[in-house]
Amino acid sequence: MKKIISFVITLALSTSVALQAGAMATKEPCKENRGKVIDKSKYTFYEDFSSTKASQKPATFTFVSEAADTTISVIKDKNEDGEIKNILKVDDKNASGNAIFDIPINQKKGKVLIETKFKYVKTTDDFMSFGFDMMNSNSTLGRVIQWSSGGTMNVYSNAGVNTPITIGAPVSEAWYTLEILLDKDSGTFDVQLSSEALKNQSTTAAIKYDPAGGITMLKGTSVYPEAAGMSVNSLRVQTTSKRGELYFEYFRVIDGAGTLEYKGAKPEPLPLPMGKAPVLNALKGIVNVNFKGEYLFFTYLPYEENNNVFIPVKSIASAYKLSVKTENGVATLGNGAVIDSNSGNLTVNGNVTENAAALRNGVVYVSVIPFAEAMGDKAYYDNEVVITEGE
Amino acid sequence: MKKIISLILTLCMLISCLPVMAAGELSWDMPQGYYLQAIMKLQPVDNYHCYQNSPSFTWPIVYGSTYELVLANNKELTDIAYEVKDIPVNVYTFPHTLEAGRDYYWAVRYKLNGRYSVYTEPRRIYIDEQALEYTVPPISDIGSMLKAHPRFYTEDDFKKMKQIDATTEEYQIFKKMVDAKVNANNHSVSSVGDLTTAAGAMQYIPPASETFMATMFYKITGEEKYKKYAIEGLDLMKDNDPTKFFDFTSLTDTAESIFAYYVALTFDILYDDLTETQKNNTIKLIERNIKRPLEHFAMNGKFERSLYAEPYGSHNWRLNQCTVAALSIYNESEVAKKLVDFHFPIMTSLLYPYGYEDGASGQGPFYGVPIDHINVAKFIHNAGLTNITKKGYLANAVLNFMYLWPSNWVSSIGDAYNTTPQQQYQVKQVLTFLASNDANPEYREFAKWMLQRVNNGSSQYYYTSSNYEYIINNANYDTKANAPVNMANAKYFPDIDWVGMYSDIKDDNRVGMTFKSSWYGSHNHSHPDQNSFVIEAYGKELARDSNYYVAYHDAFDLGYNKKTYAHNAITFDNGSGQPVNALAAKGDVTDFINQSDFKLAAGDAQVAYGTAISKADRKIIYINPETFIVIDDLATAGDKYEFEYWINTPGDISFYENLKGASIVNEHASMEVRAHYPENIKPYYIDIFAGPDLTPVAVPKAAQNSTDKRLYFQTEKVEETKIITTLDVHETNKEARYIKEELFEDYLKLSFEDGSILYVNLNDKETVITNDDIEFSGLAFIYNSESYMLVDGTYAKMDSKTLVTSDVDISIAVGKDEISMSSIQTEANISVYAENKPEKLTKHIDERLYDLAENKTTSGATWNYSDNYLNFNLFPGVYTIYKENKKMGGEERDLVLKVTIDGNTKEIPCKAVYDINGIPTYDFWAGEFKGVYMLNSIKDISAVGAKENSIYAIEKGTLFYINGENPEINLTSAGNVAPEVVIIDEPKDLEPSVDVKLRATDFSAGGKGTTVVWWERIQNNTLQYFDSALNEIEYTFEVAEDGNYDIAMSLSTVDGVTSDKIYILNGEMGIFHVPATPVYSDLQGLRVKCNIPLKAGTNTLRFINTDNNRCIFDWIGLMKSEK
Repeated sequence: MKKIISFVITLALSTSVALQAGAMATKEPCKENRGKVIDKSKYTFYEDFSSTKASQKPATFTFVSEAADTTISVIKDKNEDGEIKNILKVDDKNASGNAIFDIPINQKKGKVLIETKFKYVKTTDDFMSFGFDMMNSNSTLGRVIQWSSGGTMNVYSNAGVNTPITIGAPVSEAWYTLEILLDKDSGTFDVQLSSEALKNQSTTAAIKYDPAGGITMLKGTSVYPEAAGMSVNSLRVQTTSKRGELYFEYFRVIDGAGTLEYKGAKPEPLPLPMGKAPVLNALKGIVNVNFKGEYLFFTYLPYEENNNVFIPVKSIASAYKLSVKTENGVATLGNGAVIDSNSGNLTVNGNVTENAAALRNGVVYVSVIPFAEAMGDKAYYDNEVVITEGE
Repeated sequence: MKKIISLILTLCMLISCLPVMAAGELSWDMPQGYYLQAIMKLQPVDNYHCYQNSPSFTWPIVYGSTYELVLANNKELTDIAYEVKDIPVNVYTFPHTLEAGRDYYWAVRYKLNGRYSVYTEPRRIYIDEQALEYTVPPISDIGSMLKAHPRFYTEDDFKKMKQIDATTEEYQIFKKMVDAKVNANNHSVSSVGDLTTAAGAMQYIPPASETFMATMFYKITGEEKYKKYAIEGLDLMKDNDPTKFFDFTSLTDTAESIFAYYVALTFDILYDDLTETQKNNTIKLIERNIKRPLEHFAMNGKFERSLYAEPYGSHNWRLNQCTVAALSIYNESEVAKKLVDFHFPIMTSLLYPYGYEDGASGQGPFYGVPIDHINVAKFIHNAGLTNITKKGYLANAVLNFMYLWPSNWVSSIGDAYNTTPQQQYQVKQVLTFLASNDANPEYREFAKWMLQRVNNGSSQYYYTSSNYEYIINNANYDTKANAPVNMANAKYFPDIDWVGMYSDIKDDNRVGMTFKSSWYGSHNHSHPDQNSFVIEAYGKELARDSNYYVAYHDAFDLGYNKKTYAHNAITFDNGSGQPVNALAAKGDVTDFINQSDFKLAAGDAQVAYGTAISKADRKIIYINPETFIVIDDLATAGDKYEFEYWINTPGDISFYENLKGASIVNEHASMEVRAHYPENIKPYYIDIFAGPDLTPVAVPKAAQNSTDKRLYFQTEKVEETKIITTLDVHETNKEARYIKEELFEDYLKLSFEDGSILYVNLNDKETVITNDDIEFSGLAFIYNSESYMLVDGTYAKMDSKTLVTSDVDISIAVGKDEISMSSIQTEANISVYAENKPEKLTKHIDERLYDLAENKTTSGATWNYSDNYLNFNLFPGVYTIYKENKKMGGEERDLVLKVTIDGNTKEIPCKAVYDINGIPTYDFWAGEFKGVYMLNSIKDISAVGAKENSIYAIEKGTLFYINGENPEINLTSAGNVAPEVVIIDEPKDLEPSVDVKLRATDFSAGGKGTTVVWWERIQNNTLQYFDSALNEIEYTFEVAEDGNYDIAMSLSTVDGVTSDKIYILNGEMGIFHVPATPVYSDLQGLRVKCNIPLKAGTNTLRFINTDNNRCIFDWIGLMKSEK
């Protein structure tokens, strides 16, 4: 029955994922990310251009480059819901020049969520190529996505190594939500791209249309070389060398995204399937010593001689939790007992037992039964040496 | 010291490596706009022991520069041994060998606009005395070096083609495929379907590949029809222009390279048969098809963004095949000349970006199969240019298989299809090549042996319809193979930082581990899994990479495969791990010991975890043959985190009552996982593809039948801790061993049943003095009656006797006439207690042996003897040194293998060979005994799946690996008992007579190793599905009365194919034949009149499939025989 149960659990959890994904496709972007609720009061950067005058540029951005015939300015326009709002328009009429601007990311550690909502509008036979890059000042650390001149949108799975996931040509005038969850500790970022427009795209890898949830979602993971000492401190938007228009409804940065609370209860750990621990058994092929219910292990094997069972001093000393020091064939235990392989004497508390010590292959041995008795315990041989607590 | 070195490793390509920059000298700052992780590796790395002479030098590019390379006799670079000026590219291999048996310091500087940079920090290297010779002659005049057409195949090759064994099934299939095209004069065209996808673009290739196949058959058979077809093919595709079919994207960018390659091979072979017009057309055709690769991969001859700047883009290495294409028209085409001149230096000095000299791939063994390089190498050599097959990466390639993907070993690390090499035809292709490659004759023998192993005893190449350029390799070697009897059972790959360590590399039932902590990070097909391992035993995975690779970076790949917790590694803070796809997320193998009793693999993965973690050391002690001890030494950068220790397994997991351990059972292989330290550690269990947050990802089809589960132990929130675990492997039908654990203030003591005792330093105390007279400085000390090992320390004493001292932290194992020492990053002076001066010391690495003369440096080691101590000075690296009494393998021994079947014994003489462990070994291919048996007893034979008192099937390719002096196996044929089978058309007519039965809905007790699929047939009628050979199901019946019983059942054969099944009822075995039913809905009743006496109470019935033919059961029962 176990297999069936496990299957059901998997299905149930999969369903829950689909529902989450469905929520992501609603018109409230970034409501969830990795199952976590984003508290909007935690936005550390929020630019929806509402305080920027028409035909101006937002003061919160750093404009790096603006080629001739390229304009960046705020206009009044409709958003996806048809509301008239301030929208940032990037109009790149220049076939070779670029428009480049940066938004700041100030957090030094932990997880940061960056969100934007944008659309591309095709204006000529050609179209614009644009990209989002992770930046350290003016050094590009890694590309997040790029809309290529070949008519495909690439989401980069590794900055700088050009392993994009191609998700097909974007749709002009369709709004896209881009979310980048940046983990500054591990040097990774996850990309999620949501849009109804992506539903019917011919895709190759991570993006797909889920009929159950009606969702098109892309989730990529990439890396930037944080470990090498370069820290992301801005997100760069840049157009390159083609013609077209870009519209942005907002840019948001949420610091501390990794510390946000889980939506709902954190999952309970799965119950542990239980079994039994291996038990201690007598070892095969040797004379065993059962020390108060526990068999001794031997690095050097016991041997029998003259009806005595000799075992290495260290084995029995360990059982009695006594320290042992060995020098020149003489072992001295923590309780003062001396096992002298030169004389053959075992001395415990001043009592001497003769022929109870030996040296074999450089190891000091002791006759175990006299030793246990000298320690005040009972000891006898019954197919194995048995030592029990003395009275 | 290690941290410093690791820092250097990380930053070496970033920071200038400047000692002191004199006025006016340029620095080695990063080229503008380039990603740190992607630039050319500066190698050989510092303290590199070169087993290739000349080594290949590579360094980061500085655009517009030339370079000067020096090898000096001193670190100050004032005493120059070799100097090369005006090197135009950032790679170089000398055209001559260097003086061997000594060290050099090497450095490079660039010259830009007349100004020099500083030299890179001098790096010390040692040129081994027995290094493989590999040199790259100046290629300033490739045109004059090139042989005339046909240049890619030699006359000898053509001769061998005519000798090819045309009787094999594979050849016939292959020929049939070609004949179908040729006889019908049916030429493929490139214009079918949508070529803009990855799969679609491959449809561009068939016209070229089919033409080439016909050309090959022309040379093999001499029949004109093939030549005619090939030339027609060239004519028909003469105007092919890839720009008209697809854009050059990452999905399509390999198609025209392969196309051009096959056209070029055809053109080359048929050159003299072509008219001038045909030649000119084909030259233009090739030129058109290498043009875009030249523009995009070779950047049209510019270095920016090229392989010289960023060598780690795998697709760009299609330039290797383009180079063959270009060489075919080199003197006729400027485009071709430009491409070859550009690519040849990096091809000959780097060849493969994820490897170097040791034969292995930083992408893992699955992606390390050098399929795209080997034939190209041969063609280039034949054409009169450098013999790249002698380059370390190819010459040592067989080691990649022997130690990282041995036969019957599932490759799961990194992107992989979780297959054994037996299941990958590319492995067979590569081994076929290596078995015929004369670059390294000893390894050629091993390749033959390995090929037999993965090819079910046959040395014949397994044909496929792709990559058949060197099909002739098949026919060209003596099929007798020498087993690697003198190869060690463990190997460290320094270039990729992987380790393989096994009980016996030659035994397909081996127990072993592969471990990685790699410079190549998680880049590309590698995963964020530094310091991770896999463990397999007896052909079963126990700790595996829980990785189901379907598509590169698809949702499952990113959402699960490439999470650190999908690997047997460490995470922190509830599953945080290493970053994905980051060359910068590096690990580093810091220690490796290889001795008969104790082995060690150690890695440092701190860099991979980034800034939150300040220490991530893992050391794995392997007590031969079945026990692993993992010591993780972890610290955060200041914050407190939980750390998690992960094991992923396809087996079943059950936790101990004390919650400090768990048993893993994967059919006949088991492993006990015990967490010995810290005391406060919590166990967790996950049976879906998810991390600690239990958020699953959508599971691809390839993983839907997975039984993968995972456990992890989590520490409390700490700033630093050690995690000490044992992974103790055993056969499932044998009892697990007990491990005694004693926790002292400063150390943990573990005692093992085999007598080994381990002490682990818990608090980083400078000196640990144990209760039982062991004293050591270091991380751990382990000993048994014959051997000891010190881990990462400077001295060890036992019973007042100093065993070993060192001036730097080292690891060392001593015993059984072996001394294995590891000081990978630092030169070491080591003294080892030895009662007597050895008569002889021999260094052993791979198959090489070096006599070490006293006071003379040999292969990096210098020694002398004084006052009962052997004193070594070692160039950084790992060393296995034997004393005179250590016997090497190779001696033959005549043995008799006894195979007893049903009481009749057949004696088979075998010429066994002693291996390095003193065991006589022999591969006996047992196909002559094909059948299904009860295995009664087996001795001195290791055979996959063979366990006593179990069903055992011998197939055509079954191997008996003899590993003892008295090999014998005793079998009883299952087919000896074949009771009458009665068919009852309607199962309902049989059902009333059945005394006890189980319906499919009650089949909850399917036995271990069973493939069971539950599915609804009609309404509530559930059937059980049972289909793979040697799958077993065990049913339990409560029988009411004593008596003799038959087996009864209602079943369908589903596909209308008969099936034979073995039953074992109350210990009695037999076989019964299941007649065919046309479709599954036609259930039929079956009574097997086995007449077996049963006692009242619980009785078990086992079914074992003998074939892959499907059966589904509605019910199964027992009925009195008398009815």
